[in-house]
Amino acid sequence: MNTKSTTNWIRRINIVLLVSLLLIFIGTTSAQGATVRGRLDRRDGHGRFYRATYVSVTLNNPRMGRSSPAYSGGDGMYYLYNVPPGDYQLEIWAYPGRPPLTINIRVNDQPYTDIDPILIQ
Amino acid sequence: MNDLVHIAFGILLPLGPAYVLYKLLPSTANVSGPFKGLNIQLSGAFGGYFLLTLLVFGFLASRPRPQAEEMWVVTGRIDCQQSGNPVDINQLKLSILPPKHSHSTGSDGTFIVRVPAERLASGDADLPTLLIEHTGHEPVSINLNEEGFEYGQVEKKLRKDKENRKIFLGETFSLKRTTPYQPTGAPHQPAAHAVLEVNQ
Repeated sequence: MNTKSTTNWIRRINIVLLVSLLLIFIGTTSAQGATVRGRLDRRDGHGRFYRATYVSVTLNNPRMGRSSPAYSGGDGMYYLYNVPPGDYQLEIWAYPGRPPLTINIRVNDQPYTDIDPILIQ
Repeated sequence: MNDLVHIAFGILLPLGPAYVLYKLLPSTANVSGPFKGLNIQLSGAFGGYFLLTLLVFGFLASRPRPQAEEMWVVTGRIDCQQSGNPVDINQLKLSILPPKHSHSTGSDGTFIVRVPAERLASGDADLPTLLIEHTGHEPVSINLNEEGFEYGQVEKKLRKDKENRKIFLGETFSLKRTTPYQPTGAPHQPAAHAVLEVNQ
């Protein structure tokens, strides 16, 4: 094998490595998804709304399974990150020991999917 | 300490009935046979006392023990992306959910949280979720049980030292500034109770 063919081989290997790295980078970035966010409210005895704080929220669909829980903050807002586009059931674990409250949502291929406020009753 | 109380209780309690049996009934009780590799042959009130002691200890041993709780230490660092400002400790709130007694300290965005966890029958610790809130920034919920990436969570590098019960959040968490929440303006959505399916 002469020097020229060795150089060619090194170039080819470098190109293959570069393409592989590019594919890995694309794969990694495409794994990121949308941020799903919304607000949870409750209603008091006088019919006034107030924020439902520190309530656990998950997403669920047959393909992805159940997500890790996110909790609503002091302002009642919850954020679920890196959600791939698709149809999901949003689960609100408002009452311990009872099944969750659910609504069906669609997550689009956009940075944020804003869910209308949900009333927990 | 609790076990000592149980043992004292288990030994002393049967003395009462044994004394009553000794006084009121003829001493015909006869306990004999192998027990833990020894050949037991007891009679009279002491035989009754021995039987009652075994019964009480059996009852104490068969009670379900409460799950052991242990303390873990979580360390990490937060900064406020985009704003470029240091974290304002007065506006930072760390919560453990479901709520449990916990203690946190921090300065310059670093934090140490002592987190109670229950030891499961499998031997793993059942850790809660850490919620990080900072005014004007998106809250972040961190499931401390999961070391890898899970959808619904921010990407994190979480390392557990099970021996020393420590969790390290490998990289600085950059909290993002909130952007306007834009609901459609429709009235509150009704949420239905899920029906749990039972596979038979």
